[in-house]
Amino acid sequence: MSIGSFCFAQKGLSYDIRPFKKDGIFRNDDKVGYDLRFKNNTGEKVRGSIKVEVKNYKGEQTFNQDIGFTIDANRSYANDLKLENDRTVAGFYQLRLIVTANKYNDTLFYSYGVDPEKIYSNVNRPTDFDQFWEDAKRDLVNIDPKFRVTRRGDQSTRDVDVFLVEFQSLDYQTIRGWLSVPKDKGKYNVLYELPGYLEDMRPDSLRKDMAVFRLNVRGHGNSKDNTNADFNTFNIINLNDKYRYIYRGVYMDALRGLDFIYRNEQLKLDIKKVIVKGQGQGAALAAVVASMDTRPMGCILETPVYTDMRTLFVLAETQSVTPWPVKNFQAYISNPRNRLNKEGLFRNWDYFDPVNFATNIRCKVLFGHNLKNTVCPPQAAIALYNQIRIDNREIFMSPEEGGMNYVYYSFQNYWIKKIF
Amino acid sequence: MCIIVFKITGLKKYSKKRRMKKIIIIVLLAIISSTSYAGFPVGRGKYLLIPSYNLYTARGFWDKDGTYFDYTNNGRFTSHYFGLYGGIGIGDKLDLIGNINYTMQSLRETNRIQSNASLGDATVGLQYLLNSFDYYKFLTVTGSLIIPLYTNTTGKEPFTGFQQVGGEIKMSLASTNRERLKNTYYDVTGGLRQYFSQEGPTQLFLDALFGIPLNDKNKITFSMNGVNSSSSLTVFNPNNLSLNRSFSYFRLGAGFGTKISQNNQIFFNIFSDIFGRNTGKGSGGSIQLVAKL
Repeated sequence: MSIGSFCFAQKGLSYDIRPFKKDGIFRNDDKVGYDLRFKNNTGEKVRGSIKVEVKNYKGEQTFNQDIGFTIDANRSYANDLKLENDRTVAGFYQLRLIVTANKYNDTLFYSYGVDPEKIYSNVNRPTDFDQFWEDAKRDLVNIDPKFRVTRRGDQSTRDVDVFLVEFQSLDYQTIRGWLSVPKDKGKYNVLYELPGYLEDMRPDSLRKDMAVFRLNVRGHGNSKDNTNADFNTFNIINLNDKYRYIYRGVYMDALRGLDFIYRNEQLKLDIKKVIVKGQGQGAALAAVVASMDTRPMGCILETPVYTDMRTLFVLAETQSVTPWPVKNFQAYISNPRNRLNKEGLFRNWDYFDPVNFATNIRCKVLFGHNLKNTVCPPQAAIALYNQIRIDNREIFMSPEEGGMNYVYYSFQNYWIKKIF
Repeated sequence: MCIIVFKITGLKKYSKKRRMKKIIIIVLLAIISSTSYAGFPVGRGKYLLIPSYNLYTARGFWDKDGTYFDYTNNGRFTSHYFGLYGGIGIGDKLDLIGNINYTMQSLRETNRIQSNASLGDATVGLQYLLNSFDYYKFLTVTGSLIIPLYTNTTGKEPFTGFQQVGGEIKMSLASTNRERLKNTYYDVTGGLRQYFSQEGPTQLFLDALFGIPLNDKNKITFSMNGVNSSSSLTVFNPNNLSLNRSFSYFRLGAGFGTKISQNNQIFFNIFSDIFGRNTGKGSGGSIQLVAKL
């Protein structure tokens, strides 16, 4: 499905369906709806109907309508589909259009949001949340980082020096990352990139306008000395004990990685200009790091996961695709040996939910998410955005299904230049 | 980015008999520095500073019919222009911009030298980003006030400018090509300039620049600039050494730019007048430093 151009479907009927607002986000007094355009590419008259259904994130139907149409041969049909009614409240919606005509049958899916900044999220920040993380940071400080930087000629290029960075983190685990610095003279702005879930971060040897530090937190890439779990088991390691849960260490790894940048200005790093960036799990880590350390000047959160776990569990029951990592967690709590029920899981998770870190973020934030995200649906992800101070944040919603679109990446580059 | 537009108009007085000696009066018109940084917003809380130097020489002029003549008595007009363009991002889409310059100009003929040096026309204005077209094209509109910082005094010729307050509005489109001619970029600016007096003039101008990156640091640029200035005052008045207000010209330029640090670039340009009317025909070069702070 594409946005913004005629799409050919079966049997000679093509369609062009666009939200009234280009990004599919309607705010305040915006009219909520879509422009429908169908074109009959056949030589005969087409009669048909469009069944319109809108559901909210709970799976409740908030709108339905049947529209009949007749299109003469080689002519078009256009209609303004207005979706607003008294059940339209702030939130994200799924629009389904079932189009039936002679010899034609198709179901089209779209997503849109209404007043995302006004979506209410049930934030459960434990009273000892700050103390819990102060303790973790104290544990980290008590471990000598033993920073080690090794230039890797085999990874360096004509224009970029690549360094292998190693340090000690919580539980004395060795964490590694790749620092790429342009060879030309000068000090370089720093992009600190954190890994997606189990992503192996490799050196960025292409970027010549800034230094890039890519960190592999424990269990990722070349930081698997003591932790090496698979996709289904990494994020449930010691989930029943918040003091031993894997992400306590992971968050501290990411925090120490940032500290490495600030302690190594001599590597041509302009420590006044650091942006923390991540996608998926990396976005969650970036939010945590930007919350615990106020030194970065910007933070990019692209399609964050793990946000608002209670809503993710609700969505698991109402959406056709179970959001991640609900299945992993459900499997974990269903095992009696783990001695953790759903409420206990939520209580533990509240210490790790990126939403609860967001209020402490002081730098500029770019938040990017896609409307059709099934891994972390926007209804849950938006909780993170809405906890960030209003004057610091910018949001970009992409209508695509598979992730962020090219417009987002153009905007991201523009945003980085704007911040630096 | 385009070279600073800096134009000299040759005013002439000559009889209908062309073989007769002609009195040539050269006037410098330090047209507003229409640097096409206009295309890209400066960004909230950021500063853009562009000091520049521009050298222009002309050995002849075009008359009102576009016929070229050499200056008499080995005449040569030379101008040295020192400009400072600045921009401050006061919002994500709104910038405050300004330009001041100092010009030194002379007309040398055999046994005769006329020279003048003074501040030129200053401009101050606002630039607003109208549309970013998915963040790879930037359409901006700029409105500026032109304030003369000099007084034309008889006996100190060539004059610096019209000595007239004016206003300018222009639109700029800057973009990077993504498919055809990938990574090249262009910057097109068109606008209207009006000097607030009965005689005007009213000027329409169009600047276009095409840039080709050679590598991450270096780029070459090709530019064209055109101005059409119209006024009710179409002839030169020998009793009032004023400025030619009715003229037009077309200029081509080429340049080389290199990045000297993360936020600083330096540009070298050469340019030449191709055709014109009631204006000097010359060529020159410029050097400018683009610093983003």
